Amino acid sequence: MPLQGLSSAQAEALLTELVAVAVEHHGRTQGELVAALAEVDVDPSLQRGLRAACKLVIDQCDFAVRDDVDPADLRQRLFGAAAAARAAGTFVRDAVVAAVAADAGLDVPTFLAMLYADLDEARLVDASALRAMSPAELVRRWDLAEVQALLLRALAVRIDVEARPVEVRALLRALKLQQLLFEPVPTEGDGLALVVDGPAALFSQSLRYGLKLALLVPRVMACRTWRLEAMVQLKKGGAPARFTMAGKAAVDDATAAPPSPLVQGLLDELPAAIAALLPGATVAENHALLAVPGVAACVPDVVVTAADGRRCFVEVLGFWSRDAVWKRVALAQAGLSTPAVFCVSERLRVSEAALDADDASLLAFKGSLSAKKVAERVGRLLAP
Amino acid sequence: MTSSSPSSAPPPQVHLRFFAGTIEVTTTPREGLNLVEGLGLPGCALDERTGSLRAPAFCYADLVLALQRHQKEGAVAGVVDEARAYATLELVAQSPPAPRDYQREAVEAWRRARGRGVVVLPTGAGKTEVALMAIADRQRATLVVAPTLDLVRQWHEALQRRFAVEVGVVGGGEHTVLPLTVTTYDSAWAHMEHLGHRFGLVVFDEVHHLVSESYALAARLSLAPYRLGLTATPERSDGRDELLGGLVGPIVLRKEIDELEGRFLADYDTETIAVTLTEAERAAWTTARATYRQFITDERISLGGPQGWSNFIKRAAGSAEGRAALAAWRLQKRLAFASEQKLHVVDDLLLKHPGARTLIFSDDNATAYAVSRRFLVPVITHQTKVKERTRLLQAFADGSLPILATSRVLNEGVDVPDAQVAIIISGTGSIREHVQRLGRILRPRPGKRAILYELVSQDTSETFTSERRRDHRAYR
Repeated sequence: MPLQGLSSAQAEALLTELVAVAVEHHGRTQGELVAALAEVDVDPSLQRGLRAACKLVIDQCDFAVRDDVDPADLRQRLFGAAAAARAAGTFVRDAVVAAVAADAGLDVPTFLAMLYADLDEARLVDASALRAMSPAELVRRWDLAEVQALLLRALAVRIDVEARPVEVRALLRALKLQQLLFEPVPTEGDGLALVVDGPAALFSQSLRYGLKLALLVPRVMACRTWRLEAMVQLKKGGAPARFTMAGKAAVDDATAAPPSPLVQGLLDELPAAIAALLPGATVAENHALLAVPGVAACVPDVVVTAADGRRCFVEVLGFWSRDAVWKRVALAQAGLSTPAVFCVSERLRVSEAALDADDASLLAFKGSLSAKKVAERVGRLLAP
Repeated sequence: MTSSSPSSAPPPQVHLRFFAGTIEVTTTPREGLNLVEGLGLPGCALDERTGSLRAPAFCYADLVLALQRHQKEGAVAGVVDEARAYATLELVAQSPPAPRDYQREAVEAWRRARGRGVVVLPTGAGKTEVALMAIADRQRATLVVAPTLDLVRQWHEALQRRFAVEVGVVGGGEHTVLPLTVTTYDSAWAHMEHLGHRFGLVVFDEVHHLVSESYALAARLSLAPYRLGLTATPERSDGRDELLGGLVGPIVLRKEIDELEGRFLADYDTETIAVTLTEAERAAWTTARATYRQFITDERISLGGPQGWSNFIKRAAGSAEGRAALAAWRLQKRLAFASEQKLHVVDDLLLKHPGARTLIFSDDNATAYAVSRRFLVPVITHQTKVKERTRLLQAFADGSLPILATSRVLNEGVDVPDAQVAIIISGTGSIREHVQRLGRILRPRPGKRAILYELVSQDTSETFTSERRRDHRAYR
């Protein structure tokens, strides 16, 4: 990943130097820190990298206002006294300052220094968090920030991921939360590809959704493998440029949350139950998206693949909201290109009668889920 | 022309839904969408992502009118409008003042333009009153959009006083949405996707801000059928003011300062005071200017073109000489904008107008704070917290703190009725900024004669800046 033209090693070296400056300014003012960082000398070709690194370092600092005096109160007293002196025709600047400072129990230089101590540049630097951070961690944050900064200028994004259902669902939730729309793109294998932009992008390309797209990045980067392709408008009125970024998350299958007991039970028992009905069929955890535009999108838990390659999804809705179930009903009613069985707990109070009697897509269950009943429904949906 | 169904299928029912600043159009049954697409509804395009038609929210009024026509003609069975979520109100104006002729004329012209349009009046001529009359006239949930938090506070007070109802605020750390709500342009841009269906009337104060690329989107994401823009200075140097017609409506009434001066605005004078740099300042200015000019010449940078300035900034970052040139440019600007002699003149002017409500404007915060420290007067900048700025404006109004320094945040709209003297220490070449600053002292009071002083450093580039910004009939 490019870090404003710096290699990772250069970035780490630069950040180490800047962190030392910030730590040295712990307890001094923000203005002094900013001035000191601006003094760091680098090759002219690395100036942009320096500016980015300075911002990164400043962002990791906390800033506090001195709490032993209230600058706003000092100002109120000083300006009130000055206005009164002007009205009385007795205004002498230094005399007014000396009187108010004495009244506040401060000497004049301290009083004047405290007068605007609440402005940003006068706040005190707290570099504690920075002390505990390794340069490598800062480089990682730089990386993320740079991808997000780029997406702030994005007109549209294509996301390709290979991920577990839990990560894909998290990504879909993030899309919904940000009110972004997507169009699934057919892919080979288990991957998922989505073209994402905002609703008003239909009428004109806009940077309106850049921030929302940037906020998706952590969700994308959490996937096992990911690739972002963004059309980015770097200059106002300029032609969009295509940027591609890719990476892999450090996903540890050993510590990853296992499927729910109901889903795990299906994965364990469904192969045997289905074998009698559909010889040669396989059962696996599903990674694919099931969507009907304008109706709903979901990532079912299990996929059954018949010997002839046709597939049927199974999704288990145990403790979900009723609204989620109705969306699945709407999916089934809309007609799915790949059939699905939605197994709904009776706790959710949704009857199989919500669909036509001959539609096998809705299976209500009480307590435990019978793999045999699921297999029977899958068999009906995949019947030639 | 009569629309008719191309097939024998029964006409569908059309559903309208507001989604993130757009209107989503679906049908029952779903298959009816093709038929509705064929009607060519205003602003609508097929959105394959959602299997629906979609229009920008600002097309809502035209869309509803078109659908009503198609329903009458039998092409659609009915319209279920779930997009509109704003209330019709029963506001009662509390002791409204008798409107001035031009205010009544403005509201009537706006009403004739289907409740869409821009009213151009000089500062102090009562634009707020025009908006309050329009709100009372339409009785729809209203969002007022203003450029600064000071103006939000001012609108909040005006609405609450006039209609005696709770008024919501979105921005500055608050998020209370009520049938009458005030917000900033920034917050409108950020939140219109969620607020755009909750107001039937949007008032854009200082509407010349609206046409910037991002703020314009806020107007497009709102479905409000009624829109009112208010400004003293609609023209923009980038020509984007042409967009106002589409986003808000045409200019329905315009009055200039000299048409209202004396009767509805205070009489005023303007005076430009030329100041000279001290010897030391002149020497430093000359050296700094030479350094800056040398770099421009060496690098063959043309500052005349549209990219000239950004080209200079870009090239300056690439070398030690460039960075020195940029620092020299900043120094010569600082010397011209905040020379010692200017501060002496400020001192003299404060003595010349004892007790007068005086606003001291500068281009930058550093000068505003320097003025504050030197003359012991309060200052308002973007860093001043809301609580303190409210207190300072109240103290300015009641005369207990009659002098106020500021950089740019009081340029626009803020109501400082008793301000009589304005001292411009420095500013940009913007005509709009200069007219707005003049407007701060023009609210009428019996016997009031306002004066604006403009301090200009002689033999510096500030002379040209001053000439540029005074190119307006208010200064002739």
